[in-house]
Amino acid sequence: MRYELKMPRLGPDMDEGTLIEWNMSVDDEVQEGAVLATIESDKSEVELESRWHAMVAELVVEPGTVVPVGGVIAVLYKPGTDPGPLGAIDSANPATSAPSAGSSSAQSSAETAPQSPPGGAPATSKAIGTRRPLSPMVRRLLKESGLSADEVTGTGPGGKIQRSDVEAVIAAQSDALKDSGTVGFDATAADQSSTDPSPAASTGPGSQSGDPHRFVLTKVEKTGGRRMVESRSTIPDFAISRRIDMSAALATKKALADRGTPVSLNDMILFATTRALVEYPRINGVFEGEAVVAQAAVDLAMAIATPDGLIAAVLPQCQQLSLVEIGSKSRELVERVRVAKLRPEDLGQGSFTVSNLGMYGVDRFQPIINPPHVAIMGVGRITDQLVLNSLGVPMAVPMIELTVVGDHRAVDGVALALFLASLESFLSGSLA
Amino acid sequence: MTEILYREAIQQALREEMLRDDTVFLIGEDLRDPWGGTYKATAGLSPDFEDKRVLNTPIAEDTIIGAALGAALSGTRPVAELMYIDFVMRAMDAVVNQVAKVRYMSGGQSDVPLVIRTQGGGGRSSAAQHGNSLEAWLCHVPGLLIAMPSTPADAKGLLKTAIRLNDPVIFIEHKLLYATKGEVPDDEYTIPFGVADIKREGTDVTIVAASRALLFSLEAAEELAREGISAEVIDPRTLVPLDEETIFESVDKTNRLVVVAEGAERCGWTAEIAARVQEARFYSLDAPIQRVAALNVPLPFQPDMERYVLPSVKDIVAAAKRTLDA
Repeated sequence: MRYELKMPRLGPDMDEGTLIEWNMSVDDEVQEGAVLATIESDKSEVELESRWHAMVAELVVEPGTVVPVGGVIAVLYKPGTDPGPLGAIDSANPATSAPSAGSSSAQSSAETAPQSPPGGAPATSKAIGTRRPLSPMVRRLLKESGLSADEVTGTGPGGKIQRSDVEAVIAAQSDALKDSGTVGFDATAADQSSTDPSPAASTGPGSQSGDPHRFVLTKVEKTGGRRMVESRSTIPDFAISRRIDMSAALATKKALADRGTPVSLNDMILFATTRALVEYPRINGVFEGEAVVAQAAVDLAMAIATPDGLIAAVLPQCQQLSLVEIGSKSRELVERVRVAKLRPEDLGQGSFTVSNLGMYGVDRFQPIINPPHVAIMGVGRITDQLVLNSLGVPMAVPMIELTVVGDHRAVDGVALALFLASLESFLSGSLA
Repeated sequence: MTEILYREAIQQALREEMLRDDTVFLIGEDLRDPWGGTYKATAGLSPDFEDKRVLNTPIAEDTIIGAALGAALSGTRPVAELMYIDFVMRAMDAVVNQVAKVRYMSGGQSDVPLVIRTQGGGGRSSAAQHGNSLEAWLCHVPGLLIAMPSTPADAKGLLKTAIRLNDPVIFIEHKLLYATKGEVPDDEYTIPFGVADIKREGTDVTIVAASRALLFSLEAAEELAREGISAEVIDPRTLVPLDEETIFESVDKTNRLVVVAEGAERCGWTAEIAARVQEARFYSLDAPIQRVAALNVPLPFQPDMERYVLPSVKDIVAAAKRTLDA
């Protein structure tokens, strides 16, 4: 019968210990009470005494090795019995091959009493055969790491599995995988999220990032979220939509591309929006409770998706820019967002926001007003729609749907309708 | 930093705020010198300010709170004192139905810059009608902010903030803290509501406690340390708003929680914290959350019996160990 000798916990703070010295050799017969090894925690040096009369099968770690609490440091067996196959423990990488997966470890954990439980209380036979209930924390750690309770030996009171016990197994597996150069996660951590290649990464104290079911909000998302709550809970918003014929705009787009100054559809919408806002300055305003203050500059905020969340980056002084200039400046802005090199002016307040989900196949949507703006526009995709022309003949027309959401304290439906009509006139005009 | 008494910290906060803002005034029983308040928290103020800024009243708590509320609604910043928190019962309609609700029932239009200072707690043989810890009752009332400082520095910083807030604050001192000492910054400072303070860092078990129970918890942590157990002690400082994030983060680290309060255990705020932690951090817990609070009986007058009923250092140590043995 084989016994695994494990790194004991010498105090509640101890998570790992250093094997200083072996006081036994392979094939030695050791008596109960004999000193087997010298162990050092961050607090003290302790001589590890044998609890059994036993034979030494294998010394798993070299002196000087740091081993997590619960990690196997040596294998003993009962005198007069078969020491069992040594291959059960990978001697190629002895320091890190703590309880390995599979049924053999389930058996060994059931047979192994911890050498020294915390607080120095003697290990009792309670640890054998009975299992203490798993605490919620341990259940979570096991689930996150794809381990089963059978694969972990408890070193807590009465053989209870503790956090450090699970972490020791995870760390051992992780190191073993790293050293063997294989990436066999499906074999050892079946439930591990594929986005988290390191099983150990999910086990730090309070770490939520390793939990594949939990998406911790980024700073950008938290700030955005707060602003959205503020907006939705204080602003009486309403939305109106208009479908607009984009034939002329698409023709202009092609002509500009042919001329070597390409612009995007979004640039054209930003440009037309700017012109319409100059015509209806109240919509390019800031709501101040008693008044809507029209802004002199059309500073268009563009909702831009980043890995950290949505950012409203600002294109300032759009009223001074030509369509081609808007195109180049918005490309530069998007690039600065992409490489996370924003300038302070990119994150200004803006005066109106344009959010475009057309490229994602969205037909129409109602964005949430970005306070203190009085309105925001959602841009859908272009689709061919059947329309009757002036002769009553059905024809396919590329249409886009624009939705403007307004703060009804500051603007009414007629104001937004006139603004959309103006926008349409610019989009169907020459966009010069 | 200067070491001063908790009582002096209260005096300093009141004096500084009265000097800073002419609309701050005190109203309550026996506040003026030579008495200077039953626990001397207002001693020395009446000679230095106009008569109308330190008002003595008859023994009529509902009138104190009612008048203070009216004054608060009329543009002043009253600091009312209830000599014992036990007497809040005499003013409960004013506190619960008026003070707490004016902001809401006026559609947010009325500021209520009112502080109700009071003191609670046992340990002085003040018996069942003068030794209660009733903060849990008041925590249950939406609309009130509740501060319960444990140290002179916290008492001063929080009281100054309370006076400057535009919502009603119940500021609960402890009769056995007035004579405790602590370091207080020499320069002007305030402490925001809703920010807990980690009074001692640790890794094995989190102990949350406020007011005098916080001092017990620090003693317990010291005792636990001698046995190799590392306790983290967190003082929420304000129960409403409660800085639950600091508690959550600590529980993520230690996986074990003990909540200590001096009031009776049943339906106490310890239960509220235990509930919130299990809702938000069930999968961080390695052991059942332990509560340490007074037995569910009226507080005895007889000193040995009072000690038996109130939570002690020993009780906190035992609770911490229960979480480690679980």
